[in-house]
Amino acid sequence: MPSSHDSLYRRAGIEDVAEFYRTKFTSDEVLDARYFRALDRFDIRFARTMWVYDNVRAGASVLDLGCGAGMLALLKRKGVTLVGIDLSAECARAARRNGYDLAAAAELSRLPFPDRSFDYVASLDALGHVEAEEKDAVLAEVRRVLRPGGTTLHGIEAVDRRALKSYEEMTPEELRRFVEVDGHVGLEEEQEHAARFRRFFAHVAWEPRYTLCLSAEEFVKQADRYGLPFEADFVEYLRGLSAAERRAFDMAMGYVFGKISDLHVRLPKGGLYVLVKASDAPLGPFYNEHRDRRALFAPAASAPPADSFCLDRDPRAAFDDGWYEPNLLPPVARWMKRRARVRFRSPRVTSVRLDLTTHMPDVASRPLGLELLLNGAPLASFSLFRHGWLELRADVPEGLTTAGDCELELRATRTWRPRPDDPVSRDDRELSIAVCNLEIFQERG
Amino acid sequence: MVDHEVENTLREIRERVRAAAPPDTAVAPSQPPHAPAAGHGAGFEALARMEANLATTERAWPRLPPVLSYRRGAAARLELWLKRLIKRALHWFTWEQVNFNSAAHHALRDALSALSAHERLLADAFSALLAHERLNAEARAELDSLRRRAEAAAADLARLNALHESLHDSLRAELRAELRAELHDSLRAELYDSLHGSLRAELRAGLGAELRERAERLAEEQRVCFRQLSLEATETAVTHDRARRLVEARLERLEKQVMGDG
Repeated sequence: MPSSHDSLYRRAGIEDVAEFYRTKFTSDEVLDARYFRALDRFDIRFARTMWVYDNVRAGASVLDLGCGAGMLALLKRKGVTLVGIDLSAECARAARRNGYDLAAAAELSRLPFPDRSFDYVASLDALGHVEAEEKDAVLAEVRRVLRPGGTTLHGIEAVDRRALKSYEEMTPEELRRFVEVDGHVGLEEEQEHAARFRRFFAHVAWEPRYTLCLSAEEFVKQADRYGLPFEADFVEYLRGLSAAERRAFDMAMGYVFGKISDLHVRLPKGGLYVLVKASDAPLGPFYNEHRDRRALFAPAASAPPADSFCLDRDPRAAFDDGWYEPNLLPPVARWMKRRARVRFRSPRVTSVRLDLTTHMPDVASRPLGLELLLNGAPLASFSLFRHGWLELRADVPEGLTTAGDCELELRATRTWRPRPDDPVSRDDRELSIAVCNLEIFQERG
Repeated sequence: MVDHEVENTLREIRERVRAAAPPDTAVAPSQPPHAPAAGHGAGFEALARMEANLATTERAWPRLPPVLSYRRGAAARLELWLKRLIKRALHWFTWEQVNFNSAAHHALRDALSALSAHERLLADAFSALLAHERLNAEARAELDSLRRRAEAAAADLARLNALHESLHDSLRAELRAELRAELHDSLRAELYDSLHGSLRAELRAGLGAELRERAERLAEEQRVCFRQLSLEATETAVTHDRARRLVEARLERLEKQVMGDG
């Protein structure tokens, strides 16, 4: 996030920078590590997060500059102490909500921490929002708060000056339109970023990324808003994809992104994005220096030794792809498609309890039929005909379940799409109900 | 209505004309057979000439041989005397001619009488025709007059209708305004009270229901949020407890290790 309010922002007509970023980057997206699905490590949206994740030592302390809503919240799975700084107080609150141990509003060039406070200082999509004149001050602060031998990791938006005018060459209107898209006032060439880091750190490594792999949404945005010359019919094809198709595309892109990292394939200059790793100590591998992804997966099958446990945040529960990522409604709940399942272990389930709601507009006139099944056997069947939250508790008849693996399934008779045609915030997900507080009552094994 | 009036008027005129017309007979036997009808030009002249010629034949038919002379005095008397002598002497010879002359004269007189009668009939018919035409003209004039009156009456009627309409409209508007004002004044309080009361009750009920529904939803949302917080707190407590026990176990192991070393 930017740390000054003047010059380019003002020239672009943005007076309240914090408010600008609040409206741009605050969302009800749930990034809390406890809700992270292992499968999402392939999602291109989390590719940068995974690069940091695989480069951070478990149990370390990490400062996230320009934390936004908390894209590095996943690092909590590695038991790190995670601190965030953002220009927007609301973004800092969102980061705290998503599991940051501490998040505060502050300028990046005046970090409110003593010297040598963190093992790692990281940032994703932040330094591209810092004007060139202020970047050195930010990097000096990064160096100051890093412990000796600490490493700084950054994902930075870059530019190819052959394809884009410099800020000085832009007319006020061109500058306004350019900055209004994402707030980029500090774009530099990839090697310029690296050179700047070299002035502060003894060892600097950098890799141009996102040359090949972008999310479907990013392809369309780069073509529409920044005028990047992608093939028009390909962009048009991406524009027509449904939510499920976009998800599949992003997963494939993320998979390729990860494999490029794993194979250490050096990509040519892309002019879009650069990953920078720097330290005063000699650097380890650029990728996967501390790769340990065990915490992303459910631990070895073991039933929790309690009378009841909640599946929502339990790492042993596996939510299948019938569930969408959690949203803050509030509370935090998962929207499901027409059919969704969650697997877990239990010695014997005695009852199931959950809270559910729907935002289906015509549910009063067309009740939504729902069915709850355990291991394929129906537990409850009912119709939902009003909005608001419904608490459902279903007892499990004796003999229905066997000890060990269990599968809880929810089925809905239909779905709806919230904003299928909205050109700005299109949401064509097929939603039925949102579920949270999914508790399993069991006999102790 | 106007058409009926015009029709009745025409019927009345027609009946009056028929009543005033002369009988169909054109003969006037009471008039003398030879009296020429006034104004009947060529026919009457011919009959006058025929009458003059019959005067000649009437005078001459018994005088054959002629007993008249162009001479004067004694010569004339002598001549006439001689002719009278000759007349008697030649009577056996001339009587046939005299009879013929007499018959011709009387036939012509009868023809004159018949023609005169016909001429009179024609004159009468002509007079009747003239009178009829006069009556027709009068009737036509009267008809025109009546038509003009009828048209004027129709125009008056249209004006009256328009006036009636405008009056009706204005009266209706006035009446409506008056009624509205009256209703507004008289019923306003009553209606206002009743409507206001009912609307207020409905609004209160609707708002109350809406507020109740929102409050219920908020309460539900709060319940779910509190439940979530409670579960998270439990999970955190469990995690902390596990961590504490783990730390305690490690400490215990360390103590044992230290004691063992000691």
